[in-house]
Amino acid sequence: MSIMTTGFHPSFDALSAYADQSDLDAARTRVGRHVARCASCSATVTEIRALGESVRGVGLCEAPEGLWARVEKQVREPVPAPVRETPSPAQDDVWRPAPALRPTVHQPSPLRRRSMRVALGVLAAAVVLFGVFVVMPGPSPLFATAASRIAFTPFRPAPGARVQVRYRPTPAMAKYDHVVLLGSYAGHTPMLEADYYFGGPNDSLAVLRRTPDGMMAGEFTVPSDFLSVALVVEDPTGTVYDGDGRWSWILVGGDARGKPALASLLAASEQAHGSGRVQQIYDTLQRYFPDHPAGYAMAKRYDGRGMFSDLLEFFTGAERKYAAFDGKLENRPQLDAERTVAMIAFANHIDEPGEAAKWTFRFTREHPDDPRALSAYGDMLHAMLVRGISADSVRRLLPRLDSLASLAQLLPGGAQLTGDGPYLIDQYGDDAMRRHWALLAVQRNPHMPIFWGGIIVADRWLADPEIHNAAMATLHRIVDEGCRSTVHYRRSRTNLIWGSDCLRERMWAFDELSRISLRDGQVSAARTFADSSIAMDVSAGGCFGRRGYRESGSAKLAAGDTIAAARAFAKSFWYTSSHGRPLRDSLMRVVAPAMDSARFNALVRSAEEEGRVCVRTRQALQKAAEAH
Amino acid sequence: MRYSSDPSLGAVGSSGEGHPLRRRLERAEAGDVAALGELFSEFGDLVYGTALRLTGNGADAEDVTQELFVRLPRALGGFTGGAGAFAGWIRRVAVRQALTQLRAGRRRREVGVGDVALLLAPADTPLERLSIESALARLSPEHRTVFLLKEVEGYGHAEIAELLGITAANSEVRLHRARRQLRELLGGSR
Repeated sequence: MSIMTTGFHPSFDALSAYADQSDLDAARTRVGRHVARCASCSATVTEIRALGESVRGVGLCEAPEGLWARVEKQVREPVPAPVRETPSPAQDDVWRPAPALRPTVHQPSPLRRRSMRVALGVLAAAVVLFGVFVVMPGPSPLFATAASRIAFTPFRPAPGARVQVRYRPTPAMAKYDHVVLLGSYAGHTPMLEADYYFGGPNDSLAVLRRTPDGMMAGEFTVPSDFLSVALVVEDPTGTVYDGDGRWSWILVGGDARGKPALASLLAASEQAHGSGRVQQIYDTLQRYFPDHPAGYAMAKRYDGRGMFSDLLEFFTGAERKYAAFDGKLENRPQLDAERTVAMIAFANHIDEPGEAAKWTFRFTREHPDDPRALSAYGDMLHAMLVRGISADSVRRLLPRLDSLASLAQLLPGGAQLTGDGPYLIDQYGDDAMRRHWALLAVQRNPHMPIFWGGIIVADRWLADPEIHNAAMATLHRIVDEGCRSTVHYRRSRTNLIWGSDCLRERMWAFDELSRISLRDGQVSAARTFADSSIAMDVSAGGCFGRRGYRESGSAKLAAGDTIAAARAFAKSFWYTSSHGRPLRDSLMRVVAPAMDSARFNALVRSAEEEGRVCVRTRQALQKAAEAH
Repeated sequence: MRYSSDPSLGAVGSSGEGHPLRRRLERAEAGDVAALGELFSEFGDLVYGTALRLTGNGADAEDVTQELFVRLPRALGGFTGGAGAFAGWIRRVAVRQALTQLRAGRRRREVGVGDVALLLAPADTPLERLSIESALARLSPEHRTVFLLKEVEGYGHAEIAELLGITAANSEVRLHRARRQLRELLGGSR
């Protein structure tokens, strides 16, 4: 699915890189052209820039009292030197001035830069021509499971094959007599956003034991539906892992002769999404499947970033390649989903939204039940809006979006009613569509992966009995399910993120149940649900500040216990900091009959101090645990 | 007079030999503890605050500040700039010392009980969003360091790479991830 989404909006990383460029430089890039037209991406860039500004705006903390006394004591009594963990500055050369700040870097004038570019261009053209006509290098090396540190036999295992692994341990791993091979099979476990950064929901696949030659070896059997697997090696304590840099190694499925399978490469491109290895997968796709557009659709050489790459583009001809595929595939009576998706991505990649829309229409017509159909169609509508399509035209296109949402809801992964879909329906849909989407939103598919956040049922829909009941049923299901891991072993960090997401969602569900119960006049139930949320927070080591305290305050207020409500509200401010000021003022007005503002503010300060003490205590316990 | 701690402002008054700060530096270099105390009162907050931001830990920041000022008299011989450049110089030394401190304490570890709660911290509603300081404190040291060096200290990726012993590309990747995590912690939507 990443092919689709990254083909449409620039990735967050691309927007982040764009945010660092000067406006002049940035505007010339493909990302810059997109941002100029896309309100959503433009807002993201503004947010990214605001992050830096907000940190720069925060003043430095003052040195604690008594610190000078410590310095003075040490200066006056230098012997014996106190034992400290900090290495001696002499050892690390900290006194060597750090690099100068950036403003000192010479910036050539635009004219000079232009002349330099022309000169570089001529040189680059000469190099390219030499490369093309004299020492044509051919395709890049085949995609391999990186690194000489690990080797798999067979190199491209067939489904059900036994795979032997030989691993040369890093110094950190060398002290163990065995390590654990962890893997994540494509298509087996839903990937979460965090998995892209922390390595995926890995399951243990094999134990690698030391061999006489200093290597570590083991074996495992890939499943009968094997496509590809992302792998890392972890020490027996689960503390240190080793992989392809910060990413996983990718093992791609194939046949006995070592030819990779198309489906395996497509799956591997998903698993390697965002890593440096994905380009090698595209290269392999190009070499083994030159008639498939997937290898060309997102290949980096078509990025068009900078003159040299533009020059390369002239020779490699992304547009011409696209036109060739387009001519070949367009007239086929039926086209498989993967090729169609690749053509959408390809069209987006060469900045041809009309072509992308053409392939998206075809994709959603021929494969309406594909998990990617809904998001593809939503992306297409967004692109049209960005380019100024009329509201009437959008309305004519909405029925298909609505029907795709219904189909997606039946899929094992559930409907992903995120992105622009809800916005489009809310803005341009009729009442029936709006109600349909509100219902879909609360009828959460039980197989839908946990995501950050949870459902909030808008008040206007709670008056609708069907939506109200569906929401309550979903919320009860979430709190009843518990947080069970779907695999018997997960790498610790991912596991904790997954676990915390699950906890968060359950707490959110309790909060929402409390809010809806209070709205329904069930004060006692509202208190119980809020207390459950708070209890979960405490059991997870939280130091209050969850929404539960606010819901609890509301329920206590409704029960007439204003003092208790004020205490709960005060605790709800622990994590709010300055953002909570308007809320604090409004809640103060609510509890005003029972206490004045000074007393309420004192209560808040006391709660904040209690929270700080709680965090400090927990951190001390954590440090003590680590020391052991 | 409190000396400007903002290096971008350049020299306050004269940067020549007769500048009060220059005289204090010379006295401190000669072993005058009182002069060192005056330097501490002028630049202690700058050093401590910079170290605290980078290490994310008050005890580490105190260690950095203490270490830096204890060794400052000997190190002043290597400072050849004018008085106006001193704030920038000591700030960069604080950055380097803080990074040394981070490296000394750095080791990969599992997320502990405390961190679980921190992971739970992202707030539920816009009104319950974290403050930027709290969000920053929740980043891993690797990500927080790159973010601060780039956004606050003004280093480029090549310079960050040199300071941290990583590649410039790695620095860019860490910056993007830090921003993504900060945005999530602060309640970003996409």
